[in-house]
Amino acid sequence: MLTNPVVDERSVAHPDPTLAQPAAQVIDAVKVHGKGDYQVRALDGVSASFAAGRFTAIMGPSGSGKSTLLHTMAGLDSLTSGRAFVGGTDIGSLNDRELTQLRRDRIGFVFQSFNLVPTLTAAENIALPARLAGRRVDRAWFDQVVETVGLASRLRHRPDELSGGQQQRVAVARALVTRPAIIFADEPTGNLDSRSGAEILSFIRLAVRELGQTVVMVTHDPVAAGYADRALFLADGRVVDDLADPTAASVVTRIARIGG
Amino acid sequence: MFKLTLKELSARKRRLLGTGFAVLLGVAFMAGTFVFTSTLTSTFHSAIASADAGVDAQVRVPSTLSIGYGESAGSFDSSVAAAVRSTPGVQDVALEVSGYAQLVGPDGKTVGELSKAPAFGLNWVPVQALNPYRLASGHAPARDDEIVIDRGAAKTSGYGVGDVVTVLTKREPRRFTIAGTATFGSSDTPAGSTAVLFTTATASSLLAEPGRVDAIAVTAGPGVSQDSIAASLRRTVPADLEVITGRQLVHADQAAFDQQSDQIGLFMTIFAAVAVLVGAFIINNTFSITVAQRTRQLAMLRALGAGRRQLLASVLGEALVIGVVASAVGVLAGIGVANGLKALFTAVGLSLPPGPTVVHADLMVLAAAVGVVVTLTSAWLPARRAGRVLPVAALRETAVDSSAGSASRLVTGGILSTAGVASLLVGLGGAGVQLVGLGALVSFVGVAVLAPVLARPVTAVLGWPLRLGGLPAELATRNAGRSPKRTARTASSLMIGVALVAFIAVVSASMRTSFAGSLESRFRGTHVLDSGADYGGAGLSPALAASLASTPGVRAVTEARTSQALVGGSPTELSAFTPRSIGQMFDLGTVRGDLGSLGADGIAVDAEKAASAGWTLGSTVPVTFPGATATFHVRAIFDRSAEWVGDEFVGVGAFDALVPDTLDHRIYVDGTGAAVTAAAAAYPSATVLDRAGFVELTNAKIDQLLGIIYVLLALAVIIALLGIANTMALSIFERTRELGLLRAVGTSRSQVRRTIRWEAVIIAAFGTTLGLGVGTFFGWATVRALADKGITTLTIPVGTLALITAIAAGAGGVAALVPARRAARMNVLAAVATA
Repeated sequence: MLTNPVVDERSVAHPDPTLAQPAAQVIDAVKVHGKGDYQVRALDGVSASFAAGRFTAIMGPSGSGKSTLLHTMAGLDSLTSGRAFVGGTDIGSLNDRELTQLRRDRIGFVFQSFNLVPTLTAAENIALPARLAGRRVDRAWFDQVVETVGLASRLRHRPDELSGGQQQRVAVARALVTRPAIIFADEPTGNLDSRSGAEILSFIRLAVRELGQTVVMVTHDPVAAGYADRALFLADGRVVDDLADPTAASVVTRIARIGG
Repeated sequence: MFKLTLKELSARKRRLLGTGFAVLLGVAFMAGTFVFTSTLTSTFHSAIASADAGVDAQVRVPSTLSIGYGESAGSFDSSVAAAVRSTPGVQDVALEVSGYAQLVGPDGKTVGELSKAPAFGLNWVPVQALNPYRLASGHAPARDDEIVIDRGAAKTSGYGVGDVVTVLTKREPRRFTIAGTATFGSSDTPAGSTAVLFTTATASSLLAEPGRVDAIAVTAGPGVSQDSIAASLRRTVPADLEVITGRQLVHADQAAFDQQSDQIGLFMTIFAAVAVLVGAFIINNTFSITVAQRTRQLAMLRALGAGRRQLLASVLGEALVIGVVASAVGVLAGIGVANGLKALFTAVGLSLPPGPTVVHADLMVLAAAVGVVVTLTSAWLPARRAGRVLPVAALRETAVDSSAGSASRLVTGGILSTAGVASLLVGLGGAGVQLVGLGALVSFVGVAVLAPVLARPVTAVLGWPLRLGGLPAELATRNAGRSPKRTARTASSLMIGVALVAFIAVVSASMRTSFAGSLESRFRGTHVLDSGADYGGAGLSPALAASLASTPGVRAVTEARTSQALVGGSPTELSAFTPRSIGQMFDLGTVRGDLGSLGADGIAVDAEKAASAGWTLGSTVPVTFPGATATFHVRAIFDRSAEWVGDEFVGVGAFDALVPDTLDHRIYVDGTGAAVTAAAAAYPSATVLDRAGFVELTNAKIDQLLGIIYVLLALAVIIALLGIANTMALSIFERTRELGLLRAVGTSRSQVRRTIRWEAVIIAAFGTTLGLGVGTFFGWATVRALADKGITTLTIPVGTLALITAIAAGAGGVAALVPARRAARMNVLAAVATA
């Protein structure tokens, strides 16, 4: 299971869905925040596997641990116990430099807000991870991604000249352009109106279907979860349900059951 | 509200530390200057007071000009002593003779150097109450060939009682036997200088003229007051002599010293003021940034009902606490700074006597008050902005002020800069040093007001070559241009120090080239014999010039002397030269009249000066020397080389007649090296320099002063670098989420560090660029203004300026090391998750 992360570092460009290895996986993940009386078990023994080329939504009420799960899987935060893998790489075994490389080369991020570096143009933001790695941007791929997200005319604009929806599209383009093994999206439509939100979600689904991109998205919005191939439900730091091919309606039903 | 102020302070301790430090350093330097000068003054004052302690009254030649400590206005015949002795109420009488005397050490060189400390020759006063010296070993000089030397000189030279040594005076060198060593009160040396004590008869003939003395000191009998003994003496001594009481003597001597030390004090205070000014920029910047960062919080307070005045008071309260704490610590640190300054002066070879450190409470309060007032003043505008925050801002996203400048900024900055430069030029034109200082200050403020307009384009240009450094450098360039006002304020504080360094560099380089050029074209001799003395009453014996003149191989000799004088009523440093050779030693252009005919009552005048004063050949010019007034006749008018001979000069014969204890401070010679060296061998106080050596010596003197100035200015630069570190820390705090995002998408720690460091380098380079521009301009203006003082060639020391740029920009990067490390260590998730 454990492969040498150094050897494995840059090899994953196109995740092959035929491979048995999941794109990401957590085993007995426990995350404890705080100390003593103020301890909170944000993750209380979560095990989950995320298949390559699939779009998974992680759902749950606030405080359920869904964001913590995403952050620990993405190497933004460490687990108290248990293990997290991206491809075959055990994240817990990586030092800061290796984690940085992992995030840069094999993970894409879309946050709820503040996704872009304000001093860089849209094009520069999209090319940021590649430039950080000191690599040339694959021009054809870049153009294709930009074309797909419909940003071609806004490339020279800075974030403050773009609408919220446009900013999120730039963020998605940035996440895609490095062909990461997996994209983590943290409430990517949380700050958007429903029309812009729908655009972003359609686009993410398109990327999964057409490009074979793996996406794990945290959301509390059943409509957003409806775009995914699978919905994983968390409550009190545990996995409480797992729904294949969710729809907004079926998600609402499950939430009602969990809540009741 | 004050409670809130304190809470704010404690919540942001770390960020305020930088601000506090800027105040602290400025105050510490000012307090240090005060302590240093008070200590210096106190040390010399107590030395003077103890030297004069036993004197109840003194008879001397009245001085018509203020003269330096230890200098004499003139001598009179010792026969006056008889009348003094017979004056009722007089108990002891001591004849006093003083002048120049210097020991030649076992190595053949002088003991002590005239360029660093005076060398006094005195008579040993047999009356103990009137003699500040105490024998440490041996006995008092009893025979004409016996001397006592101060214990300090004995220690440095290794001489002891019984040794036969050579002593230099205004006569020919002579051999003496050391009869004893003495302390000056309880210290080894008289206030850092050296002393050779002769019998009174020998002192008269060597230091003054045979049979003449410089003063007669008396002690009064029991029950006779200083005033009454002085009054009695006034009735008995000749009318052309003055009688002063012991207290008056102490005051006069102390005042004479103060006149010299005040210049050191003023010199140092200028640097303290610069340090405080730089601090003011930093305080203003820090408060501007923190107020902007707290906009939402301030708006919330407004929404809750806080008044404008309350918010203004809250911010000013913060400034007050910082100002008070930093100033208090600064004053304490100032005592340490004073010791540092003493070490600095000692390091460059100006010896200062030991003495207790003197701290005047009122001056310390003044330094602290300046610190507090400057802090409050600098925080005033940001505080007013805080008061003007609208409650609705609580609902808005806090935005960084990214505006660069408005038309009114351009106009205000333009007007200030122009006014500053105008004042500077008028001041340099001769209207006074205050106008120069004011002009420089206003120019700095004007450029600082204009700087935001320049910030974005200039940082973009400066960042251009850094693109090779990859993405971090590119991000840094963008960040530097992000908030032009902030970048400009930060850079402006560095600009001040760099501008002054550049200014000094340009002026000194111009002085060097001008001097070398002028020497090349004006000086026709081959050698210069320099004594190092820059005051009257010490230097090279005229016997040396006479000996040179009679040495085969020496073609011409020109003695050069100097004295304080009033020429036609205006104070000047008047020079005297050997009349018959001055015209061939220097190219004085077209000379009307006859330089050779100056004699003892002729004066030579520069053509321009003559025209402005309305003098023509034959005009009479009244000249007042410290001890005499005489009428001189204009016998020659020259039109070049004022930088070598001054606007006017007289013949050495005039000095022989009118200036007591006159020696050559320098001798210009035309002759073969071997002949000059041979003739000068007996006079080790003369440094024999060929033309190149003379240029080197002058450059070395410039360098010595430059060294002190650079060290003092380094403080201003260090404070500015603290300001850069502070700004970076505040910027990082503000960009926490952005840094988190960068880290999340794969920016490595070292890339984050480089981004921060490069930004600091660019800001520092911007400040340096402004400083180089302003400083070079000031330098140019000064050189233009001093053209008639002999600085004729403008030289821009490109290498030095490039070095300054590299050091300042590099130091900017060093200043950002800590903020950069903190930014790199920042918890990525926390930063991204901060919603």
